[in-house]
Amino acid sequence: MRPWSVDFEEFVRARGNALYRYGFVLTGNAEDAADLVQEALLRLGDTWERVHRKDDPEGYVRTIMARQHISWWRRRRREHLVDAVPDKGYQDKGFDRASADTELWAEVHALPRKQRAVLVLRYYEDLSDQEIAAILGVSTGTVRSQASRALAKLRVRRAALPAVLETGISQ
Amino acid sequence: MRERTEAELVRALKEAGDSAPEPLGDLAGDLARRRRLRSRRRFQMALAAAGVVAVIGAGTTVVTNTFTNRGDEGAMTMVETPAPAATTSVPKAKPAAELWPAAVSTMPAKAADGWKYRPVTALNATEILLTAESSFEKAGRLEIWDTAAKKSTILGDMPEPEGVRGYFAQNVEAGDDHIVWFGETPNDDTAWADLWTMPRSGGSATRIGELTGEAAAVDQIAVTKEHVVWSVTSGGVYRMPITGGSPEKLAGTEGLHLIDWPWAGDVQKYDDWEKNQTLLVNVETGERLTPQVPDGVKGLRCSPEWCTGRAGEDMVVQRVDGSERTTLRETAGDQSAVRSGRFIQIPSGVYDLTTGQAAEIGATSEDGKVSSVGSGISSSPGSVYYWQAGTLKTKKTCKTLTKEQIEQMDLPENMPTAKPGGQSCSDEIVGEAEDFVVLNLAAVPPAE
Repeated sequence: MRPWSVDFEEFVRARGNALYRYGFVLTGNAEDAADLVQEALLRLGDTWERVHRKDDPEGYVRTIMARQHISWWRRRRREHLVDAVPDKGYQDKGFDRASADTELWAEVHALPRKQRAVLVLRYYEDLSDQEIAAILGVSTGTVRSQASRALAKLRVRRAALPAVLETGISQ
Repeated sequence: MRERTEAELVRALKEAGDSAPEPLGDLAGDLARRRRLRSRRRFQMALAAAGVVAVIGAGTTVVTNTFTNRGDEGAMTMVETPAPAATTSVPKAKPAAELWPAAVSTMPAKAADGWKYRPVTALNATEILLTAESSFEKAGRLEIWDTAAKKSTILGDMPEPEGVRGYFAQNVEAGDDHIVWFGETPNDDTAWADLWTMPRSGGSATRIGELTGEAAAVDQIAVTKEHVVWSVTSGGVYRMPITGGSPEKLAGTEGLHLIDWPWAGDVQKYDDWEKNQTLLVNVETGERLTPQVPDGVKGLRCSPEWCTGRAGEDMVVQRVDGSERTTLRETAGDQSAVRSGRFIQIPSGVYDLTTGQAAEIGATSEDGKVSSVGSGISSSPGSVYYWQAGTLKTKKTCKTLTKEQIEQMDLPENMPTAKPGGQSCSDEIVGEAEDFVVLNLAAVPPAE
């Protein structure tokens, strides 16, 4: 006897890996990523009967993961100020590919979590600021300010400029 | 330092995701284990994560070193641990077909036109209400399967309202004269839903009305002779005449959620997992009961007949007034809804509170590691379980672990880890169900 429905298992089988990768980009390390995806899927499992008719249970899980990621951070910080569960810095042994990417990823990983979450949602999940605001339960203005602070730290130039200006810059 | 572009950021993030170290362990199996353990370590830290398969209690077989291939989206599986060893209070579960032969039967998993069946609930000892789905989760038709006559009857179509994008028909509830359901657009933020009815004997579906605002956040639905009744996620019970009209919030139902008409409680079915139910209200008569909450019990949920709650790994069962309290050792799950007034789900199967018998349910793979079961999707606790007929077919895929892969896992200390050169395997359910085995709880003989 297993408490979950057949469909939920199918969903976990089909999407588990992709969700784990998303968790990794959000958290920056394997344990937290696995923890995050497991916790989110547990919650999806609880509500499956109700949300399984959504055509996008995955979006539901991703939303939970983004929110959980931020709230865990708050929680852990509060509970472990002294004990310090290490918010591990980036370790580059896993990434020996393009060093520029690696470097940038390391910097992303060093950002405050909320800023990182905003970036991941915007640039990994390709969501609009409005969607991000809904997921994180903050205003669109907050999303924009978090994102622009993060981009400034990473020295990423926003390309959302009219073509004329872009041409102007490249010349 | 030079400026970067957004494209570089996109690439770096994608690269990081693609290069994520392989998760050690089997996600689905870990999920099942964690679910059982959650009550005692809800917010455990990251350590036990990463799917590191620690040994959890006696009698638990753990598939170690299971592993999934990155990029292979089909390689996860529900690997389950067997139920804990028999305990003092719960007898060893017998196969449902042996224990309750009259209640177990098989039925096709698909209609003649290929639409997939999904059991809703049992209407009586021989009739199972089904939805038929044209595609994943798109319910399009109601049917009844007669377990005695071995045939299905179409009740009618579940139409989609015109001009509504992303519409999905949701929970179905059967009453004496009517079947009702609600539909919504679950993937947008609009507070909107609509209510539908069909005669219990079949025919055309009629749209009862549309809902907006607070009343549109339907969480449970029920039907009486004259009204469709529903509760909303923020709490509160509403009704509307079957013939249409405006929603009416029922007085004295603030904060209540329907459990099984006419009963409602002060906790939502899925949320507030730790919270105890402290009210059981008969919405029809206004009768208000206050369940006795035993010390140390969490997640107490009461129907008029029984309450279930968790005390650590154990499940506590009692009457609303606290009498007939029993502790079922190591059976705490969280799908503790009481079905048909007497059955609850436990890790080894279904437990009959009136006889103390336990029935094994679900389809299992040959090696017993993988199994699955579904329960009916009615709004109130349904009286049907179903699973794939026959042995589940699984496919095992293995690969050898390298030292680098293990290092990348960055495992916490003192955790069992994979050894380099070790095999890392996962089981995958393959194939689709041709037939379902159905357990109709309404057909289980009454206790003597």
